[in-house]
Order: sequence, then C-alpha cells, then structure tokens
Amino acid sequence: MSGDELFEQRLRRNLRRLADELIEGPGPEIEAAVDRRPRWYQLPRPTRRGLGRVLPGWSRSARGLLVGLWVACAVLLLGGGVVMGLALAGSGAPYRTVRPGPEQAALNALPGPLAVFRGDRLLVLSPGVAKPRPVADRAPGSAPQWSADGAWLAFLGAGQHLHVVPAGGGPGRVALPWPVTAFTWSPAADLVAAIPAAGPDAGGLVVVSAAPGGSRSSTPEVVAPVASSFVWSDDGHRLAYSVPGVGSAPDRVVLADLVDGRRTVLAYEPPAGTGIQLAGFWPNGAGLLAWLDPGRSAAAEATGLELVAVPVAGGPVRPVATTFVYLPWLVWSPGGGRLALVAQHGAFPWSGSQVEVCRPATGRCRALPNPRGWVTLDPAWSPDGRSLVVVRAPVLGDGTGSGLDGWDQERRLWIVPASGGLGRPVRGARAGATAPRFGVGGTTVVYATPTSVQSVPVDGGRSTTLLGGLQGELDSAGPDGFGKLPWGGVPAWQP
Amino acid sequence: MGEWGTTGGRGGASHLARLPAPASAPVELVRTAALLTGDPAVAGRLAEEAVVRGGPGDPREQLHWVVRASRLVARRRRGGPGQPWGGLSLASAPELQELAAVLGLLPERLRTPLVLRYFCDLPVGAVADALGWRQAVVEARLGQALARLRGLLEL
Repeated sequence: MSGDELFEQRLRRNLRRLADELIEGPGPEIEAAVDRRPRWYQLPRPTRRGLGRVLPGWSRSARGLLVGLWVACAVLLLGGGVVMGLALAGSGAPYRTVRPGPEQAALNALPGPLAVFRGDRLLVLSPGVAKPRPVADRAPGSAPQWSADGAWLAFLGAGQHLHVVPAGGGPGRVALPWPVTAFTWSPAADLVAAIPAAGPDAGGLVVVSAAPGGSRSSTPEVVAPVASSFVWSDDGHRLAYSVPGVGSAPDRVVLADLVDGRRTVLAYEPPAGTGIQLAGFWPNGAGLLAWLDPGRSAAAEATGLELVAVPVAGGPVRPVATTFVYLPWLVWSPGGGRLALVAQHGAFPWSGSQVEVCRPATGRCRALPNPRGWVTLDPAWSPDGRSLVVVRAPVLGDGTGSGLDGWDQERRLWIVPASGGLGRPVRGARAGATAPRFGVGGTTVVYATPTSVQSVPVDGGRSTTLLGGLQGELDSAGPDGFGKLPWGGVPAWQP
Repeated sequence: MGEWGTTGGRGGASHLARLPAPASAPVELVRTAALLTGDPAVAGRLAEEAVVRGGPGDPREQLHWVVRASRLVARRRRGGPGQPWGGLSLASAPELQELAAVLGLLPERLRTPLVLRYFCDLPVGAVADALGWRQAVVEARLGQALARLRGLLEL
C-alpha cells in the first residue's frame, strides 16, 4: 500500500472517529440538537388562522373590537415609555445602560489571574477586577508560580528561599529556608518539588507541602538525595529527575512514582559524559523532553542545547531541535500533539531564533519563517491551536549584543498561522512586548512590557494598560544566563 | 458512511439515487453536517430539516440539502464571530483534535468535497453531482485538500 493510500485510509478512519466524537462526545449539546421533537414546519397547520385560532367562540366583530383595544393600550404604553426615557436621559439619572469600557472589557478577557512583582509587592490581578491586590508582605521576590488549583503562590524571596503564600491573601510561610535552584508546583496537588542548594538536603530533590498540618509534615520529603533537574507528570503521580553521572558516566533519568514509592531507571543512556536537563513530560505521559549537554558545559548550555524526545517505555530517542534551556519557550498546543519552540540557529537569541512547530514523538518540525532581518521568540498558542502569538525583534547585526538595550524596545507582537507563513503584526500593540498570551476566546492578546501588563485586540486596536508601574530590567533570568533576555517582571499566569 | 456508496471508483451523477435508504440516515446526516460545519448543534438541526425538506425517503436529496445548507452556514460564518470549529470540546485523542483544527483551517471549497469523498465515501462523480461542479474541478480540489491536510498533519 502506497503512502498516499495509507494516508487516505487513515483520513477515512479519523474522519469517522471525529464525526462520532462530534456527535456523541460533547453529550448534552448534541442530544439537544438531535432530539426528535417536531419543529414548527412539522406541526400540523391549524385550520383557523389569526385570532380565530385562539378565540374560536368569538364573532368576527368582537375579535376586531378586542384588537382595537390592544392597539390603543400599546400606543399609550409606548408613548409613556418614550417620555420617561427622555426625562431620565435629560436629568442624568442613574438609569442608563452601562457598557464596559475598553479597560473593563480587557480585564474581563484576561485568561486567568496573573501574579507579578511590582517593586517589593507581589500583586495578583484577577479577571474582571480593575485593581490588583497584594498577597504577601512587602519584601523583594521573584519568579512567582501558581499552584495548579490557583489557591497558592510560591516565589523566591530574600536569599532565594522558597516562600509559599495563599493567593487569596493571608499569612504565608518560608517553605524552604535555603537557597533554591529550581522549584515547580505539582499539577495535581498543593505540593512543591524543589532542589535546594544548601541545607541538609542540598543538591537533592525534595517535595514540600503548601499547607502542612494533620498528616502532612512541615519538613520536606526527600525524593532523591541527588538530582540536577526534575519534571512532574501531568497527573502529578510521577516525578522524573536526572541524576548526575560520576566521572565520565552520563547522567541517568529516574522515574519516581509518588503513589507506590517505586523508582525506575530509564533505559535511555546518552553518550559518555553527557548531562541531561529534563524539560517535561509529553502531555500523554508516554515520553520525556530533555536537553543533552555534552561535557556538561555551562558555556555550551548558554548557547543552546539539543532537545530530544525520549519515550518512557523505550524506543528511538529523536532529536527535536536546538534550543536554549528555557522552559517558557517550549509550549504544547491545546490538543497536546504539537510543540511550539524557539529553535536556536546561533549563540544568541537576537541573531538566530526561530519558532518551529514540532511533533516530538516523530522528531519532525516545521519552521515558521522569520521575516528577513528579524528573529522570533515567545510563542503562545491560540485557544483553537490554529495560530500563535509571538514576539519578533530585529536581528542585532554583529551578534555581539551591542545595542541590546535598545533591542528590548524593538520587540513587537505578531500573529502567525501554525501551518506556516509570515503572519502579521498586531496593530496597536506596544513595543517592548514579552510573554504574550491569548485572552479568553482568543480575541485579545495580553502581554508584558518592561513597565506594564497590556491587552490588545488580536485584530489590532488600542492597547490597554491593565497594570502599570512595573520595574522590569535586564537581569540574569534569561535562558542563557548572560542577561540577554529581559526581564525580572515577567508575570506568572495561573495554569 | 460506507453503506451509502462504494469506496473509490468514479460513479455517475445518479449514483446516490440508486442507493437504498440507510436505516440510520438522520444520524449519518448529522455526522456529515457536523464535519461540514464544525458545529454539532447546527448539524443536528440541519439534518432534521433535511429530512423534512429533502424528503423522508430520499437520502440523496437529504444529503444534497445538508451539503447546500452546510456550505451556506460555513460561508456565512467565515470571519464572523461564531467561527465554526472553534471551542469544540473534544475529549478525544490529540490526532482527532488536530484533525478538527486542520479541517477548520481548510476553506469550505476544499473541506466539503473532502468530507463527501472520504467520510461519505462518495465516488468523485457523486461528489460532483452533490456540489454541482465538474468532475475535474472536484478532482483538483480533492488533490489540493489532501495536499494541505498532509502538510498540516504530517508536518
């Protein structure tokens, strides 16, 4: 059977499955749609028409009189309504229709609450609410992250210690009183996994509860005594972590089942001396994404590493692309089958960055072309998975980064089709954009600038400031650690 | 919908008229309309109306009616606020979600013959009959649709 025939056969099968899903999957809406109640055109036509059908015992003249009375009443009521309306409008009374202004409409379209540090205050901006509210005591911090249920926020406070606070307000606590190199919330519970850099569990992987008490200990539970990176499975049942190899031995990956306590060493073994940085599970849990670091070189890592797809149950390990070690630049499509990433074709984000849409299971990628002289960063999927909002900035000529300060201000929002094509700029969006995300319904894009959080209609229009006064600046939080990417004030969205 | 026609081949324009009315015609009509419009709720109503307007015992006319109405719905919605294929709550495998998204990306003139050919299993001649196009046009558009689908689905 040829490739064409195979494709057509698969198309037939999937169209049938899709049709079944459309009809039977969603349930109530289609049940309502295919109900067998007769429609108006199926009802038997009444033998009498007009009022004769409603008032079968009345004579024609009596029905005429009744119609006349109805018309007179309607005219009186309508006239009274008009007079009252004019009076109210003239008096400026509060009985007017209130339409949401652009700011309120933009707030209503927020895809969810966001948390961001403004100065030394951690603020939460919720959909529909104009005023952000502080959720923690005044203290410097960075890297806020939401728990899966949105009830908690974790962030790095003074000394890079891990803090946890209730998102609704109230006292928080220091969950790990040591510097932390990485932390991530469980996708299914109020647990944070972290790698402390000091303290009794330094260099290990620990899990700590957001709300200790009862059977939950306030002391961290050690999952692994040594780990260099880790990722949660989507169901929150498993943690995968990489264990540094000794000497020239390569790193290994271990799967820890938090339910039954089992540990399984993944069969995959990279070449000697290779480090592994885990990037995430595939959405279906069947595999892992990982960066390979030959020679465990920080310099190599800073210029981008090869991202590979590793099936958990064994099978071929496929290279996907070379990217910076930066998780926000790996974004799964809403359906979970495609991965948008920023592929790196040079050592610097300002000289060789391009968004690609990949299928990690097969290792196949489609590059979304850059306009000549531009690089593309910060991809985010539209809710329907058809397009991406990205940030584009001009290539900095010599690749050395001279002019980097001004480069930040050149970053522009674009919408590009996921199937390919250059796309179009979002008219009206402010320069200096970063971390864009589609709003509810995909009609707006919410994004950050160095000093504010903004919202702009996808089809162009006025950009609305949702939150101002941010103090973003170049820092070392970028993917390469060299301060190439702004900035400290990137907002965190509730998952 | 294999029971409505033979897979493959290039039947004549009257192909559908020779087919027996399938017992599940309304449900198949709903499925067809769902794939054509991307909107299950609209599809149910279209299929109901097709039974009334196309004739309860005439599957060919019912299908033709659904095709005409679905094309109209798809064209009216293009660019409007009620985008078809948007916001479908598919709880299924990723490949089906992607197929739905990709079908939504196809223009109506490519999606409709594709659905009739590969979901309804109609021969090219019957597709041409349903759409009022020449067979060569149907073949050309099917070729374009398949090429785009392959490009989008197989990267």
